[in-house]
Amino acid sequence: MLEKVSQNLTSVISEVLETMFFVFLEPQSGNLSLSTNFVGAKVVIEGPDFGCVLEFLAQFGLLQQITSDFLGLDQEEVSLEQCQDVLKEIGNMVSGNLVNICDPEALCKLGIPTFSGTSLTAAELDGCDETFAYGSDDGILLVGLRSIAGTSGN
Amino acid sequence: MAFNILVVDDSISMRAIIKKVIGMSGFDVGEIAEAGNGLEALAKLEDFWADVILTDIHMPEMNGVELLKRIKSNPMTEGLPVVMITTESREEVVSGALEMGAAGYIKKPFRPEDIKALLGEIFGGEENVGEGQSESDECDF
Repeated sequence: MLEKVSQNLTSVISEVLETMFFVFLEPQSGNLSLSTNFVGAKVVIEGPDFGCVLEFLAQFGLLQQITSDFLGLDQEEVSLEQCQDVLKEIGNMVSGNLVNICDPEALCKLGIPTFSGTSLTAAELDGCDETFAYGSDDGILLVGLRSIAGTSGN
Repeated sequence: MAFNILVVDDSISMRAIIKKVIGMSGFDVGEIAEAGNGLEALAKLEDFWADVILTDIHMPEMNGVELLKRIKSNPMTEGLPVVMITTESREEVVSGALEMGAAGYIKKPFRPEDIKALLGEIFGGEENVGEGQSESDECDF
């Protein structure tokens, strides 16, 4: 299933960000490991035989821009709390739509997004099975996929 | 007649956007109340007369499916239309909610027109559009 999640991640992120947030991000390559100033959120997907954690790291500038556009506020009016809330909602929508594609039989349970911190670095995603990067002039969004054991213990 | 709406979602931003879309939909809307989960929604219904509930499914404390179940099992609220707005589109979950009596389902990410169309079905369409805005007005986030 991790392979299916990874195959569909880019198209799902595009659909969510473009439809709901009017944000167009391009896949990024190259060494982004020194990138800093990320806000993080994560969502756990648990199935009987498989589980994974999707970790979302958005650079604050990008997240602030997405949040201000989404809520119709000036960038300086946007609070950190609103940014965190929007990142969690992005995580929720991306993970939910991935589960719809990768787990049509509804065997997996989609967790509630949790906030994982501010002023994070890309090193947060060290040890992930796969890492994806998307960006615009405002900053970078990193998504890490980390596999975990299924609830049946397999 | 103005309609009261209860928006239930654990995301403050999502509640704000849904309220904004409803406000721009052109329907004659009275008060729009908010709740952060199913338990808060049930408490809100103690002193708020809602004509429709728009609820997320995945929420802490009490999720949207449990909220739907509680509303439909209470004779005082069983006739209240409940619309699910959620990322969830897996057949088992969606058909389960519809069989339980959900009045409709909107998948996130949604477009403003999706909410407007479903409210039209529930409120009866054009005859209930307010004076301030016509049905054909553009509705954007």
